[in-house]
Amino acid sequence: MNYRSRSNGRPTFICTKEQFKIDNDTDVLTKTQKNFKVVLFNDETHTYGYVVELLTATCNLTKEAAFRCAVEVDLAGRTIVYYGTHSQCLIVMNKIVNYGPDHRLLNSFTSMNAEVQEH
Amino acid sequence: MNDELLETLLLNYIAVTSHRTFRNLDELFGLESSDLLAIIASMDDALLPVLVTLFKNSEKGTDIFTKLMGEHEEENRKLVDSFFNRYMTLVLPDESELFHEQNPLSFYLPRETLSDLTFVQSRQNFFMRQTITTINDYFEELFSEKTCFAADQQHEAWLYFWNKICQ
Repeated sequence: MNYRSRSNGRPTFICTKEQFKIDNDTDVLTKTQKNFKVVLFNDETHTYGYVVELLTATCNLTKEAAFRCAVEVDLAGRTIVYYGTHSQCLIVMNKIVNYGPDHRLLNSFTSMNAEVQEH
Repeated sequence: MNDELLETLLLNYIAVTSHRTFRNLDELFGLESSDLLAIIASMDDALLPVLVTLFKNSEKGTDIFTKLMGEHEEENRKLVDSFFNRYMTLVLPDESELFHEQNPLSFYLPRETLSDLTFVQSRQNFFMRQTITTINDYFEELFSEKTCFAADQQHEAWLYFWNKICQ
């Protein structure tokens, strides 16, 4: 289990490594090691199923971790899906924006939007 | 059903099941993460999509998501996992069951859509992600002819398909 101490001494948790195929998640654990992040933005023409499929394929997230990102992007409008070097993030971002529309929705004709940001 | 009515129904439901009364959703959303998650745990699964819709419409989505994640406190972990597992079971259909007897290409690119070339073109990425077996079976069903595209020939199969429907 991965967890870190907060300044108040109470332990926190993130998803375990088993929930992420690579050491990456929507929290801040690897921030100090990576300088950039890929942010996924919400829109109304992609389903939860699509987002899970997208993130498992492009970011190597587990289904459970991808679903949490899907909920976050639905509620908050955006979610961080990947941390890495600039070039790593560019590769992931390009995979996302070129993944294609959601075949489950007749009115989906574009990919989701994502961008690389410094953190 | 409008949000006001949903809000009223939900708050009444919570009052009955959790014996806690809230005047409005803001009071509910203002709970500590552990309290909110405990109330959610006592709700029927069928109400989870309603709750998430109300969360979304509240425009406090970021704060609420942090609470749904238990504010990353270890003590909230079981409730967090429970919520997400329940909600995921509800909103993510098992597509392998859905396509148990039907080809996914036949389902999402049925014959009647093929005259709309813009639509078909938009589904190229989806087509290219299918196994070659799925593609060959789709062609046999669609064109009544057996094709034998090999593994990794999705691009060639797409070109064949596109030429066929453009004729």
